[in-house]
Amino acid sequence: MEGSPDPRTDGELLAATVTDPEAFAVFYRRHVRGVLSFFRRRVPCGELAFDLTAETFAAALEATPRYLPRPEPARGWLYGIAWNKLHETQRRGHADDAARRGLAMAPIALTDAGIERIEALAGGRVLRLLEALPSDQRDAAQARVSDEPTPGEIAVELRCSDSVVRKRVSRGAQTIRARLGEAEL
Amino acid sequence: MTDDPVALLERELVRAARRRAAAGPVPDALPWPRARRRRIRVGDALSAAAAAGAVIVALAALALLGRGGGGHPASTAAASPRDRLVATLAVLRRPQTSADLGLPELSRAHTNHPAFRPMLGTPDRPLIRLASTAPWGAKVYLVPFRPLARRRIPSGWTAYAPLRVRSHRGEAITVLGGPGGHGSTLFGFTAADIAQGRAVVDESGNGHARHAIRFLVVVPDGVAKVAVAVTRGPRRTKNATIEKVLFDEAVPRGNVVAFQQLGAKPATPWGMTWLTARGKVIKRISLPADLG
Repeated sequence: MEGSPDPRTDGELLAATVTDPEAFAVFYRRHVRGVLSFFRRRVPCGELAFDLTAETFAAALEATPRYLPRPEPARGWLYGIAWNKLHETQRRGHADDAARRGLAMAPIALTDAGIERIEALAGGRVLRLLEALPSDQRDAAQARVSDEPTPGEIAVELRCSDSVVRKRVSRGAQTIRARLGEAEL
Repeated sequence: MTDDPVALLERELVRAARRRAAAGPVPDALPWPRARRRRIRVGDALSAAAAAGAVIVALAALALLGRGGGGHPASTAAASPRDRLVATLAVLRRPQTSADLGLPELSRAHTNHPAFRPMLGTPDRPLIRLASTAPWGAKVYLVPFRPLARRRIPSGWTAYAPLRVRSHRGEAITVLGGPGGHGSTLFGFTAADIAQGRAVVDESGNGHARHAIRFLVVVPDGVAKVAVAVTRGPRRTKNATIEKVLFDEAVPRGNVVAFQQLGAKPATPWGMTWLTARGKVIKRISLPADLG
């Protein structure tokens, strides 16, 4: 899961997915940890983080025929989808599975071992330690340990300012926490 | 076999990508996602399935005519109308039980009523759900209907504008309450109707006490309570004086709120507010002026 020797850029992988399904697997392996971590920091449990991660990649796969290479890194596009999934979940009160159903993907049942694996990959333990820090230190520390795009990069995808992204993500995460109940995060 | 969900997800994604690659390129003009569109055409197996009985159909038609339709073109957004319904209503996502198919009219021989079947289409049997039992004892069923395929529309109906609207809207839910309950409009309610608070079925005046207000509202997931404002005093008109506004709360069961208020004086439902479990306002909606 730690990256891939494939020399193609993310944009090239997405463009190739239409005819080469393995290209999407490379793209997935490059980013699954980051996306999982992105969600894990914002929702109260690993299961929901995985659910949202699965839906994000399914939506990305569905959208690959329309993906147009652009100057910005393709991961900004991916995290734009992730942000939208987080926002939808906050609005609906539950994680959607429309993209997975649309692709006729089989549901994945999570075992205890699977949840542990998700927690380990998403850095759940580190995140719990980070949560104990004051907010300014936490943000800085998270920025250091995370490989997700900056709010500015996501903002390009979402066509809004980075402060709007920060505020919305923060508000969405708070709402989800409130709705789903306080967990270990 | 691995227990690693991340690896399992990768496998599922690659399989899905292969299926898409095998299906060929997606035309630009096709609303995405393509995979969902394929589901809509599956209707042949259901063509012999029973549709709603003639009595309910007739009532539904009257309801439609009384309200003058009001169809809206289906959105070309992300999913098929059927998928959007399923995504909007948790009750459609739970497993179906035998009780869901207990609506008497659905278990009868299909009447194929020539006057109404073209409007209703065919029931989407796997999605039929017994959603709730109303306080007045009626069992409330959600029955999604697929509009007839163009080739199956009787020739005499093809020029009928409401039928074209119905066809364009795609699969929509009709609310049937038995025994003796109303049907909602023949147009049914799409996911957009439900999200916007338009999925309201008037049950008032259905053979029960005067001044009683009874209506059903189909609400999307996330709505934990519905507060209804009811005015006492003259019927709602442009210059009506409202004597009193009462608020009543009802809790959805199976994505349906059944609201009932009995009173000696004329009363009119005015509006409703959707709330989360913690009381946060989701949406405020005006109720139809002719309700109650």
